[in-house]
Amino acid sequence: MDIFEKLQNLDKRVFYVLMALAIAIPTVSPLGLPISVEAPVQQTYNFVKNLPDGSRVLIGFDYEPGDEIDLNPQAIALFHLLAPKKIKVVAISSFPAGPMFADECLAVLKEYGYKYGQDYVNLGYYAGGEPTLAAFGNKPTSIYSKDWLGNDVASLSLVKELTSMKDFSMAMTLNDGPTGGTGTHEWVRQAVMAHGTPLIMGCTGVLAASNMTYVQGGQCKGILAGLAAAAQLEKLLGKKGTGTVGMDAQSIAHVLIVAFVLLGNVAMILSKRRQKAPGGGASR
Amino acid sequence: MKISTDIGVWVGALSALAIYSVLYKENPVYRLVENIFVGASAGIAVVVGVQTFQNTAWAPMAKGNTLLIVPIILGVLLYTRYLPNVSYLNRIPLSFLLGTAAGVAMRGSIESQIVGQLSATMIKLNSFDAWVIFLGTMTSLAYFFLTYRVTGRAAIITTWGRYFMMAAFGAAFGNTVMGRVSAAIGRFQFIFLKWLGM
Repeated sequence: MDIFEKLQNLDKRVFYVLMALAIAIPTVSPLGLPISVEAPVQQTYNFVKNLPDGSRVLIGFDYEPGDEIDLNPQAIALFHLLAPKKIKVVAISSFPAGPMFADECLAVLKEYGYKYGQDYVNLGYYAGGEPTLAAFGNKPTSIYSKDWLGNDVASLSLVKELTSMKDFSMAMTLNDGPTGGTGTHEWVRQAVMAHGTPLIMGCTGVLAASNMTYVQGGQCKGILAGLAAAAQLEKLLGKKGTGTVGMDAQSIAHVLIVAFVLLGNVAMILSKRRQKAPGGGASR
Repeated sequence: MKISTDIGVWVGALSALAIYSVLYKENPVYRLVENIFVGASAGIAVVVGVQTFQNTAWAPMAKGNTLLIVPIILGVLLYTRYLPNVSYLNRIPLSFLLGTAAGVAMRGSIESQIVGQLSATMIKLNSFDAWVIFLGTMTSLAYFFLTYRVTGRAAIITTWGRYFMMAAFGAAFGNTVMGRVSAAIGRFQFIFLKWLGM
């Protein structure tokens, strides 16, 4: 077995160890690699920056634990952008774990003097996906009797102000896909098409390509895709967070993956050439 | 280095390490944690289900919104599928659910997913991006023109459609890889920064 065949038959555990090192080393000692802001993130930043002061936004925490690394940093960066404008935040979730992440991210608002019930609320989980979101859009109080903390929603002044989805200057879904919760397509239908409320998407990297069409089509005002978008938003804000810390690891890991893909293909091509050459042949 | 004293963080970190141990080889610790995860997820789903029922149906009904008895009965009928003699009754709530979901989705889907997307391709061809969108859409659609086999010089259109789609698949796969790496970064940040306090 020559070196090329050995490369093609490399024990996958070698790759796992290298990948673990590629992520662990920059996590413990960040390299500070440069981050450039892409057009969709800049567009999202500009849109949110121009929202009216003191208005209300609706944020859907539509994701499960596996995707919090992509979406929590996006939410936190967004709250740092909203808070100086005193924009009120209403959080809802179509996944049972969503309210927990909402709680974690909304804690940022306390740094800016936000008061629960008055400036922000975490209404919690709703079952039923799109039909329930449609009902919420028509009458927000119709689907919640208690919030995530167990308070009667009728006692929360921010909830009393709500009559329909139109009361929000912006809706945003932090989304990891349609399985089990309310997906991005459903948000476009129920927020943008039904009520004309501008929508921003925060999604995992996996969903970026399929949802970019809504931004290009003008139905969505901006999109944040994956950890990279969170890091870019943090750069625009001038605040380093978990997005920025994670980008070093992501860059190194991607270099490693690209290197292995190239190496594997080069080894395969050279190995085939050797077999075709006179006197060549697969070793046994 | 300041190791966390939070029991929840310890459980999370040790569980993550146990799950990652399968990368070396299948082992009993991995299976134990996997089974705990499945059991805990099912338990949480039951608790959340009961809470949702209490908050959105039972409590409001007890306060006087008696009409809520209708959806409660429909919900109960869903479980008749486990009783062979009356299993046909579960078709009533199922039909209602399907009809409602389809009706709600219909509202806006034609405009958002067909008209909106089509009009987004009708743009001024004054930039490279605009040409890529225009040609990519036209040639990709031509690829799915399956009424007859396109041959000769016209076949170049469907070939380019295939290339555009392959580029799109590549972009989607690249984003998927990015998402998976992000998931690993999340766990590593949890282990090194939150658990070990490095």
